Amino acid sequence: MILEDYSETIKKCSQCNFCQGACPVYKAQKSENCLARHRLNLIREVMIEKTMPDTDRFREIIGRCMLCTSCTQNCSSGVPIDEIIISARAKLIENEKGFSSMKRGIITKVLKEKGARNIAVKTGALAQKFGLGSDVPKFASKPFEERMSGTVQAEGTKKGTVAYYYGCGTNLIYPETGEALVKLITANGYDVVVPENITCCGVPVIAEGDIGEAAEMMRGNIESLSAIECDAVVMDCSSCQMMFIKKSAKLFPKDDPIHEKITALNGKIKGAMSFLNSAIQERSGQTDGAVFTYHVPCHKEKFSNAQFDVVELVSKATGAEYKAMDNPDLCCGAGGAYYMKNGEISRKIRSKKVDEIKNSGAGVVLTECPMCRFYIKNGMPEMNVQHPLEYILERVK
Amino acid sequence: MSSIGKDLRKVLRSEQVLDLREDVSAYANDATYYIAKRNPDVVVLPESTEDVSAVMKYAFAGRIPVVPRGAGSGLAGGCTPIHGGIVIDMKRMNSILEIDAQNMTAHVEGGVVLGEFVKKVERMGLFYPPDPQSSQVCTIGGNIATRAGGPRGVKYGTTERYVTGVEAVMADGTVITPGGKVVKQSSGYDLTHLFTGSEGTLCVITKGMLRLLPLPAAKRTLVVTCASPDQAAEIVSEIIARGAVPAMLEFLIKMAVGVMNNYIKPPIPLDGEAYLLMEIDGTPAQLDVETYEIEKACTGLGALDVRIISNPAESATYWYARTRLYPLMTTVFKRVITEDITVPRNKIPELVRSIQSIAASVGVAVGLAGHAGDGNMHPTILQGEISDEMSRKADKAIEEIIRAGLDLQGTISGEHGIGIHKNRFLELEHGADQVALMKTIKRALDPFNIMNPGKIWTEDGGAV
Repeated sequence: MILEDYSETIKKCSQCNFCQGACPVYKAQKSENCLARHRLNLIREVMIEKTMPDTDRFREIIGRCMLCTSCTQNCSSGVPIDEIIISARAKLIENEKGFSSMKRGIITKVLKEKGARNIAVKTGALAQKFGLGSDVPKFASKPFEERMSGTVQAEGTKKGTVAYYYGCGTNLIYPETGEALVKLITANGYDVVVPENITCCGVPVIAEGDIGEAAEMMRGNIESLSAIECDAVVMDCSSCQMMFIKKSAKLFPKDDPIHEKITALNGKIKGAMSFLNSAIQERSGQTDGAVFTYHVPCHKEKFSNAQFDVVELVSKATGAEYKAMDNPDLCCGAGGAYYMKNGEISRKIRSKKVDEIKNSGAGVVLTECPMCRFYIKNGMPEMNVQHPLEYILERVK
Repeated sequence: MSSIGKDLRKVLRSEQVLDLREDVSAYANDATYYIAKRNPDVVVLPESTEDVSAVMKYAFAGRIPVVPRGAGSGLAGGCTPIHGGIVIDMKRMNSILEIDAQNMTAHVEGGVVLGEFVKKVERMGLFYPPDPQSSQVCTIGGNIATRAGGPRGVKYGTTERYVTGVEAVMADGTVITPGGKVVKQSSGYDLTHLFTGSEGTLCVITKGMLRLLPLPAAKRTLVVTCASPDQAAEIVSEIIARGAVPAMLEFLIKMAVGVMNNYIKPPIPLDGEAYLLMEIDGTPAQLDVETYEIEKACTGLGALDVRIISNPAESATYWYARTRLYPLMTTVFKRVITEDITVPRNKIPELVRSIQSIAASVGVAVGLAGHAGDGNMHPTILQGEISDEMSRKADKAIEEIIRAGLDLQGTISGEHGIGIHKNRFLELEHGADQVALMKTIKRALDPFNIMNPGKIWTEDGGAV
């Protein structure tokens, strides 16, 4: 993922301006300086052709992309817009010092190292005690990595073994998601291996342009997961899954021996929803009047029916009724940690989501992404927002 | 900060005014970047008619060029600020003010996105047919300003047929509201339709009153595989002659279908040289009658295959792919110039033959696609390389195609508008007297030539 690698593909942008139909930031701002087309043109002029100067405003505009990938997924010209923006950011931070580089270092440490995580959990708890950071997700008192490890045995006849790659959201904020996943998969006849030496998938750090750090994290993950003998590797977070399947290979030079392992591993990776969908029994009996709606995380495969595997699974497993919101795949505004820096834009995006959720008449919002979950809940505290696996577990108990 | 920007910040909120180079360059071009790329001095983001009027008063006093802009997805350079000045981005004025189911009308602000509007009216069992194939982004104000068309022209006509009134801000900031909600109106000049298609050269269209239809009860998609473009063109004429009126009747050469197959599930087998993609709509009984007539026309002329796509999810992929044809072409070619020549419908076979022979004699690749059912073809100059030589050839091919279309009693633009892409050809179609009359009207409404100057006709009179 080096900017120079994209000097030809960036020219594939046809200027059709259809990115307006996809970009949540544009939809909130209604100003074309937020569009993918414009960012690509600027990157080309400032960083590739060097016909325009590198200015603070240029950096602001490049920084304001949420990396939700909606435009990329919507782009008929097939321009990998998100990767071009990441590689531009990587180049822009090369010589950067001071506060933002220090902050990046701290975030990376927390995501990567258990020791730093423990300190962060304590500091976070303390800060929240004093009413600070209501806009920041609260760390769980005990992370998932301390709740479960090793192999959890299948119930009944064993059908196979799966490894579980849990993301940072599950580990630090919502460990109950991980517990639900292990219970549901073991209940359906699979041993679940909870690996100990895995770390963040790197999505939060590439968003900051730190490709080298993301590569290091990913290398560790790939080595660890490849060493496990299993039939499948399941994930509960759509962003982690995107990172492994679509981005991991691009983090390394072409001649790096890791590619062989990436290919082998990617063949085994499955979303927990689609994995369970084929394993789980259809619930017999009547519906109990419960109504759920579903928010599609941005990093899920959009513009296809695959994005609604959750709806299929939940309907099948629980008998609850699905009521769609107007635009289930409209962004919620979180964009990982984007909302912390761009509060006003994010709140604007979220207010539309909140309205649509209310209008759906559902009693619970399901979504896989921990940051969507936190941010939606933050915008409508009265609403029940859950990971679909927790919801299923609650209802099939 | 530019002085225009500074002044306009007194008129609007600061956040509604952009004048940094890194911001305004987003507005330098539309979807045809190769013909214009000049930054405006300032971009304004009005949120009300009052905002637009205030900006116009300021521009009028200072004789500053103003370019109204919808989604910037046009294919004629119509909304490009070739003289700098102020771009008025209308997209924040995006309220659907009223959908009156009883009168079957809708009142909308100019920046409403067509697709969002269509979704809303269809949920109410109503129908707004015009769709220039960019409905995901294009605005109704932009549609009105360019008299936008699209594949439904064959049965339902284009945007002007659905506009019954507008709210317009004139060059000096005056706000007028010609036309209205009535089905017919016989009082005074029809200013509504003077402004419809005026490409921002007479006024800024801030609101539109639109006519709606009942949503057809059923629809059906058909795909016809043809042995040659000629055969496909003959079949189009025959279908029309038989009295079948498809809602959409698209002509596509093999290469176009090839790229559309990226989205079509399952993909169309590429065993023909040209294809016709049709949608028919109406009551189920009507669909059967039309299907019969279409099948007769196709088999009579030796079509290789006629398929009825009965699965709605499958047929939706065909029409989605069609909306993506233009950007898809750009993945294969470095530059794609799309024309929109339109001829009487029985002349489609002749037009198709002319285009093929022009392509061969000039030595350029010309893709053939189009809404053939209404006589509108999109001969598309496909450039694998960008060079002066290629550009000269492209220009030559375009001119010859345009002349061929005019010889067949056609028009140089069926739906894209003139903008700056085809202004040198305007007189060829309309003649000097008629263009002079247009200019007289323009001067009367816009005495200082501040409304989107340089569009529709060339200022230096440099016609071909």
